[in-house]
Formats: sequence, structure tokens, C-alpha cells
Amino acid sequence: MNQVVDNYRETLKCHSCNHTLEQSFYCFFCEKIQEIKGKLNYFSIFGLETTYQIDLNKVDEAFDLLILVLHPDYYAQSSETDKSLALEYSTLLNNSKATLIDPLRRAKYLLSLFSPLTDQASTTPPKGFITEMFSLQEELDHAEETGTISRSLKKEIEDLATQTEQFLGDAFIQLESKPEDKLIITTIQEEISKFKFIRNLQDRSQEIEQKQTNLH
Amino acid sequence: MKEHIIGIDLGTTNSLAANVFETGAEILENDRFSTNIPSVVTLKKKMILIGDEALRNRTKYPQETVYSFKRFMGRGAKDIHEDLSKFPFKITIGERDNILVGVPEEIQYSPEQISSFILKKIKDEAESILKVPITKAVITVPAYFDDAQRQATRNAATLAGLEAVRIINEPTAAAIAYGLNEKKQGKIAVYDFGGGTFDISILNLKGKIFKVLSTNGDTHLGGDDIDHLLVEHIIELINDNRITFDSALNSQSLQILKKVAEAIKIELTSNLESKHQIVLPEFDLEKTILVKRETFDQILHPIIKQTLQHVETAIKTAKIKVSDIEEVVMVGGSSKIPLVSKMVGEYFNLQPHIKLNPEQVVAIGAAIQGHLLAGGKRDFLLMDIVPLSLGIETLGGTFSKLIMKSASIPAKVTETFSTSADNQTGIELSIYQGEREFVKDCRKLGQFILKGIPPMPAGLPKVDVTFFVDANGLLTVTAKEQRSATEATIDIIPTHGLKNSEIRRILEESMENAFSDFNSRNYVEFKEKAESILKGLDKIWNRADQYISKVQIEAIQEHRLILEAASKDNNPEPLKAAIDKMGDLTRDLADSIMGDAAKDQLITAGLEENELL
Repeated sequence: MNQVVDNYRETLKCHSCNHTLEQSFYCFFCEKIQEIKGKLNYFSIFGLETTYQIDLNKVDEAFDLLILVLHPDYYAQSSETDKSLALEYSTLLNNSKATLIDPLRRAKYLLSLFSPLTDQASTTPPKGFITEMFSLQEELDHAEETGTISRSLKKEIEDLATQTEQFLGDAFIQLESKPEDKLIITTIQEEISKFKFIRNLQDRSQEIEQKQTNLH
Repeated sequence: MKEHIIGIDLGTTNSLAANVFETGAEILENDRFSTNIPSVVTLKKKMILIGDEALRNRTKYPQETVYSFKRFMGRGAKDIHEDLSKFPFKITIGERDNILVGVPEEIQYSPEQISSFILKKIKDEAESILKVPITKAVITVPAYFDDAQRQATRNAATLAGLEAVRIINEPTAAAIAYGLNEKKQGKIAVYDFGGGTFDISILNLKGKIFKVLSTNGDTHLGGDDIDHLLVEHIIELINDNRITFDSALNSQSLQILKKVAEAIKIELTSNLESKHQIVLPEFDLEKTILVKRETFDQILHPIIKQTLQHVETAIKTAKIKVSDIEEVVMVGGSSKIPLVSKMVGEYFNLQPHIKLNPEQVVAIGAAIQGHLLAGGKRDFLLMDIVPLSLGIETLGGTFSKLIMKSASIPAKVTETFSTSADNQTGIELSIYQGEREFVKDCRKLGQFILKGIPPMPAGLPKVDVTFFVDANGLLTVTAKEQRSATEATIDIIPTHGLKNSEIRRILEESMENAFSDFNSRNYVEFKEKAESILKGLDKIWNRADQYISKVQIEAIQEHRLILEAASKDNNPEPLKAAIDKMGDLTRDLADSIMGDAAKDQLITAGLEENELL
């Protein structure tokens, strides 16, 4: 559980000029890259609460601000220590952003913070859901053949994704208040496994639509 | 600035370098030296010609003059799709399925070594222009180059005495130059159609950040293929039943036909038709042919269509629409062809951007990146991506991707795998790059074995496999068994490329041979120099007694015979000595006759012959 603890809010001081820092990586006052002692998670890196529903614009803003002072290209002439810190942080920033902007990866990651030993592959969605997926796959097969995807089919798939995201958001809020609750964890696992099926539908629908617009 | 890091565009048909000066980035060339050289090398036993000299002599040394070797970088024989017998030079397959160029009994080089000759020449010319030693460079590669091809490029630099501090993608380099020059924002497409490769990159320019969204391309689609189709057409026009495209033409005929095809292609860029006289000594044939722009366009159409399919995929991968693109930047020599510009313009419904020289923009961008790495102004940041997914082979030949296509670099992913048999003490990891489900459809980058795992039941060992792609887009793989802390790391060594030990050996050998290499490489230059000195002497000889003493005249006359003899002998060292001595002997004469400028001329004659004397 200690990984979920967000040490971001603790008062941070620059190790070089003792200036108060708003994040752990870099002192904008004396322009020094910092060594981090505590452990940061992908959320706290960007100054976000460790929760499922996040503002993606904030991720973008925080990423741009940090990458512009932490990228290895700016440290090619620096000390070996600073060079390797820059490389480490940039890699971390890239991975964090890629994880957070994707609702499926974000869910998997957040669950791993709460329940590090959970094997996410172990759950399969309920039968009724699988049947629903099959019928949507068939509709997509048809759309692929004709080269056009109906607006209603597209909306149906997108709605499914939005619903799943909302459901996950609520479930994670519950989990935050009862972090050890096995039932909530299982519900989230099930929802994540559903999300994988929906993701596949989203990818296919997007592909068909792209072909449609590019052929114009 | 602490150091100079130049930018080098190592192209299939042409290479050039640029540098950032106080006034901005510029191509490195002046009236005496130029880094802008054809990527052509003549490999003779005692002589290596590089660049323009090699190109000039291609029909004289048809078998020994090699080009397009960039296409072989980091590739095995199985990867090369074109018919190797259609090249006028000899290509053989080495022990590791690697490609070797040159006549087997005489001289053979790897593509990396041949590329290193080009890079060395660029380094020398750049040093002459900048008057400082150059040891570091940013070198560009096609965005769609895989890990092995990137590694091969870096090795070529090492062999040339250059550290490739960064390998960047050609379209991305072009985007840097564009972004800083035009100060525009938004989504742009870089359409890079070069001599041997095609690349399309979609970027988002936002504030200082130039982010690559997607990239696609074909490392075997370029001007070379256009030349190839043109040669086929020329053969049709020659209409002689002794010459067909399938018949084995000799090296000289192949070089001549390629030369004509290149000339036609260039002429048709500005003219509506191109007329050429073809002389093929092999067949005792002389014929004039005429190619019209219209015919050329018909030949080209399918190739351009192919490039547009890659464009479509790139747009799809970037998850945007064609109409989101605000500008198309044209890069590479082949993008100057009118039909290319027309079809690309129609596809995007935009006027293609051609304000920046398509042939220089890549080197300029690389130089700007080099300047940044040398500690220069932080006015932009390039965020590039992995062009193709990276992963390992898992049970049943399936491809498990660890780093996904289009991931921003640097990127690092760790995944845990286990053993499939009881008491298995070693795990073999095969590393692949590609997008398909099964490894047989992907490209193998290399393999290694993690040994020394304590015997355990199947599935119990936990092996953490970490893939790390650095800012150069180069991959390192580490494997660690958690329980026993057994660890193994590899830098991916190209399956077909040079091993580190081979690079060391070549470097050591080249140190030993440095002097003789230098001399033989410069032999042709010496010879030209000698001829030009003798010509110069002839012109002023009747006035010589007005300026120098009889003793001096006699000494020059005597040495003249030695110089003449040395220039006919194939031995570069005495020739160099004879030239130097003639320089000394004629110094007084040159001084008094022509003043400083002309003195320089007499001694360094051969560089700008016939100008002053």
C-alpha cells in the first residue's frame, strides 16, 4: 500500500539552493535537476491525486512543463549523475503519460497500486457480456465488408467505453475508502477485462472509419 | 560553445553536412571544400575514390564503383529484395548471411565500411572548412530504419573516427529545421522521398515541443527505383534484340544506363522532354532516345501511389484526419519531381511546402540538433518515437510486444516471463521488431541466453525482461531472474552487421594502414596536382630567366624530369615528395612573378587549375 501514499504534498526543498519546490524533479529557481528520495507514482508525478478520474489536460500541461527541463538533450554536456537522472526522469515521464492518457492502462496501473499481487489476466467477463460482444463484432464484420460504419454502431461502442470508464471511476472511489475490499477489487478486475473487449471494438471501428474518410 | 557537433545527412545517393554558425545553420561548403558529395565509392585494390571522383569514374571503373550501399546497411541477404545481379558491382554473401561488396579475390568491404569512407571524407572536408577537429556528429537515418540499420549506421561513424552522439530520423530533422524557420504551430506532415527510401512522419508542433505522432515508410522505395524503371523504359526505346532487361548486361552498360536514367529524371523536372544519345561500347551501339514527361509520369504514377498508401497509414496511426494536417513539408531529391508534388498536393488538398531546400533541410535539422547537444540554445525539444513495436518470441512462435509502436523515446518496459519446462536452467530470448502476431512475420534483431537459473519446476522462475530504448532509438535488453538474481544484458548486435570485435579489428588495422591508405586515396589528387604544376610551369617558362637565377632554373629543369617520371609511376609517396620539392624550388619564381595569390596558385595548383596561370 505504501506506493499509493502520495508524498508529493510534503514540503520539498531544492537540494542545491533550498528553494521550496512544487514538484520533486527540478528547481526552476536555480535550474538544477533534483535527486528524488521518496517513491512517486504516475499520478503524483504530474501533481494529480491518485484516483481514476483525472483531468487529461493537466497531464499534458505538467508533462510539457517537466519534459522541457528534464529531457536528456538538455543534459548532453552535464555531469554523469545529472545525465542519468535526466534519462531516468524522461523515461518515467513518457511511461507515466502513456499510461495515464489511456483509460484502460490507467485502470490496470491504479489497480496494481492498490493490490500489487492481483493477476489481472485471471478474470473473464460474464457470459451475457461476451454474447453482446459477439453480436457487435458481427456488425463490425459487416461494416468492414461494406466499407461504411453506421453512426449508431459507432455511438454504441463509444457509449460502452464511456460507461465502463464511469463505472471504473466510481469503483475506484469506493476502493479508496475501503482499500482492502476483495469484492470491489474483483469488480474492478471484471470491468478491466470487459474493457479489453471494448477496446478491440473501438480499434476496429476507428479503422473502418479512417478508411472511409481517407477514400473520400 | 565547448565543441562542434555537426549534422550529417548520410543519404542513399548523396550525403552532406551542416553546422550551426552564429548566423544560423548552414551547409558546410565553400569554394575549395565541400561536404556535399555523392554517396559513391570506387573500390580498387590500391586506390579508393570517394564521392565526385568515384562518380566521374563510374563508367571507367564500372565493376568497382559502388552506390546505393545504404540499402544494405544492417541487412542480410534475405532482406534484400532486389536482384543483386542487376548491380554493376559484385555483391557476395558472407558467413552470417551478411553482405559484402567488392571483387572477392581483390577487395571486399561491408556496407558499414563503405559508408565510413563517405563519413570520413565528410569529416575531412568539414575539418578543412571549420579548421577544427571534428569528432562528433548527429547522423540522420530514415525514420523507418529498424534497430539493426541504426546500429550499422552508428558503427560506420565509429569506423570513420566520428562519434554518432545522436542518430535522428530524417523527416524529424527536416521538421526541426522547418519548425524553427517558419515558427509555425500545429500538425504537419513531412513527406521525405529520397534516393533510396521513403518516409512519412506526422508531427505536432506545440510551443517549443516538436512531437512525432506517427511515422511510416519503406526503406526500399526511392529514386533508385525510379531509375530502375527508367532503365527498363530506355531498353525498350533502344529496341535492340541483343539488349533486354533480363539479359546479363556488362557492368559498364549497367552504369551507363543508370547514368542516362539519372540525367533524364533531372531534365524532366524542368523540361517536358529529354533527349539523350546512348553509347554502349559492349554492343557497339549508338542511339538517340527521347523520353517525354508524359511517359515518365506514367512510369512514376504507381510508385507515388505506393508512397501515398504509407501516408494514409501514418495518418491513421496518429489518430487524426487528413484535413487536420496544416502543412506538408517536402524533403528529399525525389520530391522535386513535378508529379510527386502534384499528387501529394492533391492528396492533402494543400500546396506542398518547398521553401526550404528539400535536399539540404535534413542536414540543417541535424546540425541544429547537434548544436543543442553541444550545449546550444534550448529553443526547441524534439520528441521522437519508436517506429515499430519491439518484443520477444514467446511460446508457439507468438510475438509478445513490450514496447509498442509510436511510444515516445526514451522508453522502458519490464515484463515478467517464466520457464516452460521443469528444471530449465537457461532461457533463450529472441528479440524481434514488427507489428505482426507471429515472430516469423517480424524482423529478428538478435538473441541471447540467460544462463545459470537454479533448477526449479516450470513456471516458478520469474524472469524480468526489460526493454530500454534510448534517445537514439537504440535498444538494450536486460533479463533478470528474480529468485536467483541471475542477470544478462545485451546491446542488440545486428544479426548481419559487424560485431564489436570486428569494429575494433578494422579500427586497429586502419590505424596501422593509416599512412598508406591516406596516400593511395590521395594518389589521384597528387597526379592531378603534378599535371597542373607542369602545365603551369610551361606557361611561364619562357619568362623564368627574368626572375630567377640560372642555378635555380637548372634545378627546376632537373627536378621536372623527376616529377614527370613520378607522376607516371603508380607510387604515391615519391610523387608526393616530388610535388613538395617542386613547390620549394619554384617558390622564388612564384613569389617574384605573381605575388602572393599566384604563389599560392602554383604550389597548390590542381585545386583551381587554369585560373591564374
